[in-house]
Amino acid sequence: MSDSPTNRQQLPGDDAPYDDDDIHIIHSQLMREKDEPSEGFSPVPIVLLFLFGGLVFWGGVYIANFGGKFRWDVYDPNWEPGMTAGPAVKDKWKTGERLFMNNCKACHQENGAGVPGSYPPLAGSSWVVGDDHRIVKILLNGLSGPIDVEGSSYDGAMPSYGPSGAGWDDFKIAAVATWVRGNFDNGAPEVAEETVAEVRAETAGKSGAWSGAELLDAHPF
Amino acid sequence: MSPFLSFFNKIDPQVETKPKVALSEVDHEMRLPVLLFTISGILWLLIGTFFAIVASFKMHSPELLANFEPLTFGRVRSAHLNAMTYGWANNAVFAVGLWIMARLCKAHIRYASMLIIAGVFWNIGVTIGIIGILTGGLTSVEWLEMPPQVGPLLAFSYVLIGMWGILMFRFRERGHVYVSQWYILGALFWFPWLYVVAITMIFLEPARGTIQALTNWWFGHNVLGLWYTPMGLAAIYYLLPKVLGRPIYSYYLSLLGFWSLALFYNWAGVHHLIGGPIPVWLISAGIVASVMMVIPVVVTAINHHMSAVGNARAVWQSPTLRFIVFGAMSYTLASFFGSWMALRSVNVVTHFTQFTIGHAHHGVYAFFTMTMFGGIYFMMPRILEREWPSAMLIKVHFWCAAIGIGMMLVALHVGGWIQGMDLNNPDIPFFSPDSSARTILGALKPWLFSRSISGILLTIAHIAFFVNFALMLIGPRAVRYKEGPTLLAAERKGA
Repeated sequence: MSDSPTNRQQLPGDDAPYDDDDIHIIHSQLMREKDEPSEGFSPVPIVLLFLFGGLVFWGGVYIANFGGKFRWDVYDPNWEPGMTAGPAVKDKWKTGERLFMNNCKACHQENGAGVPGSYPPLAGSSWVVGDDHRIVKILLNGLSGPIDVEGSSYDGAMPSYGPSGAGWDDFKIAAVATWVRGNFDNGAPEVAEETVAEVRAETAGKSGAWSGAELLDAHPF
Repeated sequence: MSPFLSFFNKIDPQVETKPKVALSEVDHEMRLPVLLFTISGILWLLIGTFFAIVASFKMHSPELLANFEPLTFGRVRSAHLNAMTYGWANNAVFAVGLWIMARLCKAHIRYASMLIIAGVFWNIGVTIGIIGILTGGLTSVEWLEMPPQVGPLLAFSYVLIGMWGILMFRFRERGHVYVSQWYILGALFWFPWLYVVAITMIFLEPARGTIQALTNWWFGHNVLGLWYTPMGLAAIYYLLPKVLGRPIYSYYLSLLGFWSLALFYNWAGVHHLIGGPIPVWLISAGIVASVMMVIPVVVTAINHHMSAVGNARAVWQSPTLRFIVFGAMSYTLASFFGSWMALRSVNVVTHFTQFTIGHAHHGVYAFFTMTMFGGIYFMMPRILEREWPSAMLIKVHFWCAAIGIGMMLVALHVGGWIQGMDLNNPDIPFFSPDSSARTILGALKPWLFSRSISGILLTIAHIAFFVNFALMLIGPRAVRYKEGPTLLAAERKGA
């Protein structure tokens, strides 16, 4: 990469003559350079020992309190042995509310009243209450074409949340159906996960969305 | 002499080992690789600063360049991070770290061409990566946004550099191994381990689910903790006693500091996932390790402070020491903040806020970058056998950088804390069409604006540094003839 070290290492008395500038440079290089760093051997201050002892003690206590006994399935720092660990208890109402807020609210509105002329209401709708197979079918495959809800007609498309759409499992379908049927003063009973499984098996061959007429034939109000 | 005593003689600095190779020879043989890395590093610093300014202004004026796709926020922010990390910081580490290693090994430089090849390929890799980010090929993994295809190229270049450093150490002049060498040697092994494991477990053979997030933050945190930090500390440990002409206070403290850093830092990254869906014992272990980082920090702080104490004037006068001491103090402060932020009760406020961004700049800029500036100020006159042309530009650099980063830290920490308190308060909306309402966004905006002002100060600092460096590099020969080094304050005597 450059001239070899032997060419480089010129010392006073070498054949190569120095001019004043070179000597000046070499001297300033030597003068500015202090010794290579070295280390003293002062002892470690004793107070540090107490600090470190305290820290290590704190660390042990912290792990004992918030370490979840090193279990792979504990995610809550306040877990104690004996508490139920692992998957949370499934709550249809909580899950249903979350699913509704994230997926349904945009069209059917937070109060379930829908948007007149565009999105049918869920509150007080005969499509929602009554035979629970109807709402489960709508959720699984969707619903499109003209329908009549409480005296107003709508012509839209409800997407599928079943196998041909969002792919929700039985629990999620049951949860959101339960929540919609139990809210908005609808007062209809819960939908069981088993009901969803039953309907899913029944309609396994169905492709595309339902029409309003199809559903009313099978499940009249 | 008993074997016991002769063992200690080896580490006793009082025993003179006559160097066969002069320091000026080491400097001369290292000239080309060091220049390559330093020039690339400074150019990346300017590019990264540009991206930073654009990203920062977009935070409070989102309409700026909003329709220019390559500079949309998502890309320019990642371009900034990667240009600074892999462009500036790594090139600076390669230049300063390897040069200090070479000097302390007191041996002739072998295989310098390895460094040149690696340096060229490294910078080609980073360039491709940054272009990849700007054109939309970025990944969603923070700290690894560059398209994964450049991973092997960077890893290959790094392996050459790392191997060179280890070979340098292997062929060192026998005798005492100085503390800086421990840190550099450790870091040379740690970085490839981090990078290769992260690339493999996230991109090449992706691990499942949250393990990827865990790997991501283990990597992200340790790039600072096990790569920049040991390299920065190595530079401080070398330059502080070197410029002052005093020994480091205590060998025992150095030893304790090194091993406790090596033991605890590796665990700490999990604190980025507090509240996340990973087993709680992992997070708690990360929190404990983060707090345990107090040990190496206190030890190192005492060691540096006791080595420098009583030399305020020399520190003020030397460009190197001004930056180095600023960096060392920031290291202590930033690390204490980091330990404190890892606690669950604090993290619940600071997580997902600008506070974390402020903390990252505290570590990477106020500590690491300032230290590297100090290292370059010391190194370049010896490498080029020229003096820094302008003391004024050094002063501009120092003051703009110090005030700029100080201002940024205050803005992001205070603003981030307010943001965190607001986020935890369900009554305060994120945004409201009513401009007089108290919103998270409204409360944060003035702080983001002052961060942009601080960014302008940093830009001025970096331009001053670049101009001074360019003048030194290509300026007239006359700068060689100045008497003695460029100092920042009047000399009293000697120094």
